[in-house]
Amino acid sequence: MNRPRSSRRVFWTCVAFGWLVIAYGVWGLFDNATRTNPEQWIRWFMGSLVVHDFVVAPLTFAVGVFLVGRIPRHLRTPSQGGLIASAIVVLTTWPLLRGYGLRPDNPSALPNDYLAGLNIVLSAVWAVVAVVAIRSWRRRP
Amino acid sequence: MKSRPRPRKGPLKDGAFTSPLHSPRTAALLGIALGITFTVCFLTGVLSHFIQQPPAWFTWPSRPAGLYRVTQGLHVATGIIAIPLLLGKLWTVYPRLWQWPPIENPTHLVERISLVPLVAGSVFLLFTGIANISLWYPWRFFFPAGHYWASWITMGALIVHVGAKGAIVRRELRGRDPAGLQVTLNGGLSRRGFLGVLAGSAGVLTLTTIGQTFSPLKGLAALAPRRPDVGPQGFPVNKSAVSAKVLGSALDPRYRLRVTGRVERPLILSLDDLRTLPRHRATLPISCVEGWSATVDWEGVRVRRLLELAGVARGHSVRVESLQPNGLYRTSVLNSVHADDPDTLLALRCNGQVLHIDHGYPLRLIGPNRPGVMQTKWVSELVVL
Repeated sequence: MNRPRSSRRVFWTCVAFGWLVIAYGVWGLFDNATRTNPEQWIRWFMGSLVVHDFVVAPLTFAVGVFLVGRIPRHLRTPSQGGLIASAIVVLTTWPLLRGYGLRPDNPSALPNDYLAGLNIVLSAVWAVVAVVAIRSWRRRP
Repeated sequence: MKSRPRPRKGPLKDGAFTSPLHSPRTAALLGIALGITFTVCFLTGVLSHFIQQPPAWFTWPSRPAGLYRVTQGLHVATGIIAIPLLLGKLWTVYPRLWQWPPIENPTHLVERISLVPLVAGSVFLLFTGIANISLWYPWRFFFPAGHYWASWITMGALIVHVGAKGAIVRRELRGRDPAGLQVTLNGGLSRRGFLGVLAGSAGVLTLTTIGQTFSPLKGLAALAPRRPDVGPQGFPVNKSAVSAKVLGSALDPRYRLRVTGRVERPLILSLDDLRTLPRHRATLPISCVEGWSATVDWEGVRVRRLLELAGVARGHSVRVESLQPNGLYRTSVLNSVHADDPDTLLALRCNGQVLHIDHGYPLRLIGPNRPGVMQTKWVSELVVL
């Protein structure tokens, strides 16, 4: 790596301090093992990396590659934006949509109709997409 | 004879990732935004942890009454904002995962190893956080402990990352970059367009969830796990009487409140006794660690008043015990500042009605500037420490 001499010292200082903080976290994890259940915790922690890097990300690229040739050039920008925003909103609200947290004894938990809410949000997103798409279609050379 | 290297395939191939959005500048801008949101999220989270499990040097004040509602609302809001930022950032730098050769030198090795806790921790924190506010627990560990210790590991890794990338970020931010508005080769989003979409997504998520704590926007809270005005007597419940297993004991006519511990005169009070004591009214938020909050009118007996009756001087902390037979939130501690605050009550009524059993009938603790889990419900005993 061609990093400037000055930042080398900064880098190793940050490495030392950062790993000290990491070590504190690992110590706390095992020191509170009855609550953190390290064997389970590690599975979910490393699982987060594996699922993102080897499932979610490749799928995202695959969808992009699949769609890029199938959408007219002048509609690509708005539809790409619409798809990114939609995917983020759906992913974030997934547990609510599935209602995993619903409790028969507590109707105040997850009180909304989340599918209806999602429909409204996605309609708004795609309305913006449509406006941008129409404008860019008109402006095509 | 030198053997020819095998041709690299798939993501390892030169030019496998064509989008110019995979640029250091995109990464730098998203990195700064993530650095800010993660820091705010970390500090507010550690604060909440200290309030609930205070170290010896830490005393959480009882004023301003709505401070915890703000810090914890901020914790959840910044966590939600970080979701599009993190996904965008990881997408931007994804080609680096497949860089060839994978390790260039010892410095680079240290840098890359530190990315494991950074990426794993970032995804883990946002995933477990979102699942928790959605009341979904697919794992077998105690969420607050697992989330808390993961945050230290992630922040440590973030410090290493800032050390590794700080120089690049500074270089990228110097001067204007005319490429920002250019449409990419395939007619896709420009960099500003991409960042705008991520910011817009964060905005949409914020607008549709923040109403769970910021009531002027409650009408927009279509995707919030709670609504501040939905629940018995007009506000949400986190733990019901059924799940706390107090239905029998809370409705038992033999119910008594005890004031014990380091007291001059132990007290045993029936509900009728409590009802004859001077009442105090206070409008205080109930602020959940999960990011929702609601303002409620409470009416009840001052804790300070009960301590006076038991002959307890000012300056004592008090453990508040519930009828709940078990559970980590069965008790909470009022530090002396909270115990002596004139608005810290054992409430008998809320919003003009006798407490609903899910809100802690016959008696619940409510005090200014406290996490909801420390506003103990179904109170059976005050133990003066």
